[in-house]
Amino acid sequence: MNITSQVKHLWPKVVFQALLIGLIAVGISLSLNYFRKEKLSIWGDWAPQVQSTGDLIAIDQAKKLFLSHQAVFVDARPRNLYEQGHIQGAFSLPVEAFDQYFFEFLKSTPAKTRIITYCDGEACTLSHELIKMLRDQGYTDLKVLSNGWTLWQQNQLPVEK
Amino acid sequence: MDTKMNQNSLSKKEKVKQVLAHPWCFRIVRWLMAALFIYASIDKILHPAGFAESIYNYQILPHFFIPLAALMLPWVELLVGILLIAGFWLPGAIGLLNLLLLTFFSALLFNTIRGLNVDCGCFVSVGGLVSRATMLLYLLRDGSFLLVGFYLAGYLIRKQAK
Repeated sequence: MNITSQVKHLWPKVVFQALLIGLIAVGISLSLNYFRKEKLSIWGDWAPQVQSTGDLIAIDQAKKLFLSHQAVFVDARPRNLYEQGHIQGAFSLPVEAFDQYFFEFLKSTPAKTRIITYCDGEACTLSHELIKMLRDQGYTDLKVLSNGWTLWQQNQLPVEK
Repeated sequence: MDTKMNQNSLSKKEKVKQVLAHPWCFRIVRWLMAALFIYASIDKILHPAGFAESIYNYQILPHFFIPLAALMLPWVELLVGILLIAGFWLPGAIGLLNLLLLTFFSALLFNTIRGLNVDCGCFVSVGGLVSRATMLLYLLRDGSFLLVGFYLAGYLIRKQAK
């Protein structure tokens, strides 16, 4: 039998088995997700600002923590951007000059403090980098407010210069 | 001299062909790919939210599809890995393996061309040359996996053709 006819012969088998594997995967993953504590909501749009999963915190939840003074906000952007405006009461801990500012931060912030980092723009990675650095320093309760500075202003929450 | 070299390289080619056509070569490559897929799936199964964020960073899939993809894809990877090790349903498993690798590769290629860094979902103008270099490295990596996937598929077709 030549190769072309063999491919034709093999093709239905490939599709049938692949579909079956896909179906099994859907079955297992959806039922596991159903019983999970931190489940993903399947039918909602996925975007960082509406999900409080993994390292991310949703703006509504961040707002609650801010208003009840239950979290410290940390600005991961360069110092000059912080000085142009930031979330009210936020610390400045620029990723680029972490070593320079960390000691000051450490003095006033115990390791168990709930910390929310932010920078600006959905694509900004500074806040993610910052929680990695803080985790290495022994901080445990760390969240990222993705696109934080823009969202904060859009929601007309308190800012200062 | 020339003919000798030609003969040499010809026989080398033949040797490579022989090795590639050997059942044990196929088996070992299959197991290596399986190990890779299983390893890659575990972390994503444990942390679906993190994986959802990675998919989001690729900025290709519509947002409503991201949670489902983040939950399902790692399980497809795991099942494909298990089937590859067991040698069961190989046509389906190898077909899916190639489909997944091809999808990852084209998504990566698409983002490299439009200048997006998939580590953060940010465009390269932010990260400069370094992030473009990482993207090329990823492309090279995924490209070689794809070649391995093609080999497995080719072997299967040839074997059935005999």
